[in-house]
Amino acid sequence: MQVLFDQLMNGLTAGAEIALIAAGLSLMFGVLEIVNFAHGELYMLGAIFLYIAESSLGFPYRSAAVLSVATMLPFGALFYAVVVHRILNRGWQVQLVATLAVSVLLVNLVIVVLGAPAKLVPSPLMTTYVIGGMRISEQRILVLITAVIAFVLLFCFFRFAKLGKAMRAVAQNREAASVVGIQTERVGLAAVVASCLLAGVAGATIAPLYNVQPSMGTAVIVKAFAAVIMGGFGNVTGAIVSAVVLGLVEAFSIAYIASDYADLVVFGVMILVLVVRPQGVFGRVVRR
Amino acid sequence: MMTAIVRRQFALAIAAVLGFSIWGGTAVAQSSAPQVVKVGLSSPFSTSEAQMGQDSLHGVQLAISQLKTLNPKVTYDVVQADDECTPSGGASAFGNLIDVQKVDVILGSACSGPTLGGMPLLPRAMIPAITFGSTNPAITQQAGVGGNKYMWRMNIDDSIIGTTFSKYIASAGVKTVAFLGYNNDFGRGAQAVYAVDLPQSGVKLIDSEYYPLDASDLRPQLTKIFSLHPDALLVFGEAKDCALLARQLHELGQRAKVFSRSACYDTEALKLAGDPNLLNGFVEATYWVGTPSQPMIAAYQQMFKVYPPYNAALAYYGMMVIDQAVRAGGPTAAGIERGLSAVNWRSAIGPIKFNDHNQAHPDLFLVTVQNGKPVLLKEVPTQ
Repeated sequence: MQVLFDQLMNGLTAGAEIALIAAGLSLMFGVLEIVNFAHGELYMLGAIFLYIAESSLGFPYRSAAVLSVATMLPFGALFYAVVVHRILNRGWQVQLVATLAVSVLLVNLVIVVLGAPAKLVPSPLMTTYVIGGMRISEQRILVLITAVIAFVLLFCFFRFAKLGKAMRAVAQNREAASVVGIQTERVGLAAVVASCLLAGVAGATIAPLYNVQPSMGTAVIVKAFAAVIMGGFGNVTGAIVSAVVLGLVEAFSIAYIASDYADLVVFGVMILVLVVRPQGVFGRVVRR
Repeated sequence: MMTAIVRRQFALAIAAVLGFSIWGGTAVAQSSAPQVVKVGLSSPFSTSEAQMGQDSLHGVQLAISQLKTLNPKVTYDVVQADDECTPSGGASAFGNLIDVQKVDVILGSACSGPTLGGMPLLPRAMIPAITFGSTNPAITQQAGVGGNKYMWRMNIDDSIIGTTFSKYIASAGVKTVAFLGYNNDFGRGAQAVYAVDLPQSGVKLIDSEYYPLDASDLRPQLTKIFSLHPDALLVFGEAKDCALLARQLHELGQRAKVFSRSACYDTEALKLAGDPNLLNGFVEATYWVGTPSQPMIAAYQQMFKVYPPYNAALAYYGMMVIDQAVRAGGPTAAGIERGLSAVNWRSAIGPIKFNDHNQAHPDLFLVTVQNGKPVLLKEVPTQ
């Protein structure tokens, strides 16, 4: 029973990490219909900014985390202006190649500037607590709490905030939204910035748990994509729920099947969901 | 007064003398100019294993800088190809080095997968390759007599290490072990070795778990392993994975005995662990550790301002072996291939002499971590 509970906690925390990353990915697709293959590298950048803030600028973790997330704000604006804005009305092939190019550029830029070696980002939140017989660190609890707060804020934003409602309108029909006076370019910019901020929050909270290295985004983005696809492309709630489900599936498949088959099971579940419900669990069939 | 005929003969004689002197001078110039050997380094320069490639390149660069003085007759030129630490990456890297960069010899890969993926290309090209870090036993099984005669291995492999390490684990009073390793040729090849060697030493292998190269969260695997209450953990990975393991063992409150083939004593692991004392008691079986008898350590520190990581040291010795082969056989691919079979070199890490499966047998080092620092337990000859 203890093992079951322990793996449940493992799965929930892993799922929360994937969810923080998948939410931003789903947001950008939902509003702009752009699949951002560089999103994993945005998460990596958040972690790298945290590392720079601590190691080079000497900030303590809390300040460094706030600074690193805040840095993603102008970066997101830059990303929109230089890349996203130019590919908005281009075909999916151009969008794919452009975002992949950004991904390669960011990874190699970090390698050139900071080097390939993995880095450690220290955090004072290393005290462990025993919850239900399982030990879990403060940092991991922070990730869980941050994920919940971020998702509640996102929900409220889309439901109640004017900009959030505008994003939902643009996601439904860009032309119609423009006709009724919604400034779609500003909404697009806001969506990209929000996506980058979410990636930055993920990087700032998750980085102290693991090694920070240029390829860290590539490792996690595949599972984030699986969560987004499973949840229904463009459905942020669906992506979050699916990410948690995938985290649990991975933990339980390691525990009760075999660790070398974990990825097989995770992506097998994704494919199964798509076979049964091609639009994703939370997606809706839309006639264009 | 010269007649026309005499003038013509005189002119011809002068032309002949000039011609011979130019030809002779060129021949003399050519014989004194250094001969160039192009070495292709295959290692991961991207992905989560990118550090291995960077370290390997530094080791080779150090060796080449020293060889300028030690062997001035030969100029070594190193080029690199990224094998991503995967079999398909290895095939691509070896192909690039052979067909595009046209090297005389390949040094690498540091990873088992790329070596296994790239070595089938060697016989067609008749280019020798020497690995300095791959440990999957299949490489030796497929090399040399009856197999791929162009593939050579300088370092000891997991089948050589496994026997000694399993006996050491048994001597530590361990009765049950759980294995945790990379889900690739390195990890799986090692698991196959220890699945046989550990029971032969009286130790039961009760569980085997794997993780991908870019994994960061090992807690599901560790939770499963410790639910089975093994006496010890046997881990396979790289230095950064060992550091993650140490931190997550600490987070889970597990004070396990850890035996490793994961560079847990390496400066990178000690640094990334945050608190190097988290690695106290880990015992590593390795094919390189810094010992006082290795002048390359001080030279590396002078050149790169850091203590040499193990991949840098091994690549250094690999490059030195290539030089030994060039001295023995000549500065061409065919010469290096001949020369490798004649190499008989007492290096600072043990004897380098290849058997009929193109496998050398330098020493095995057992290293532990005490007070956050690596301490050599014993150096074991493997020949």
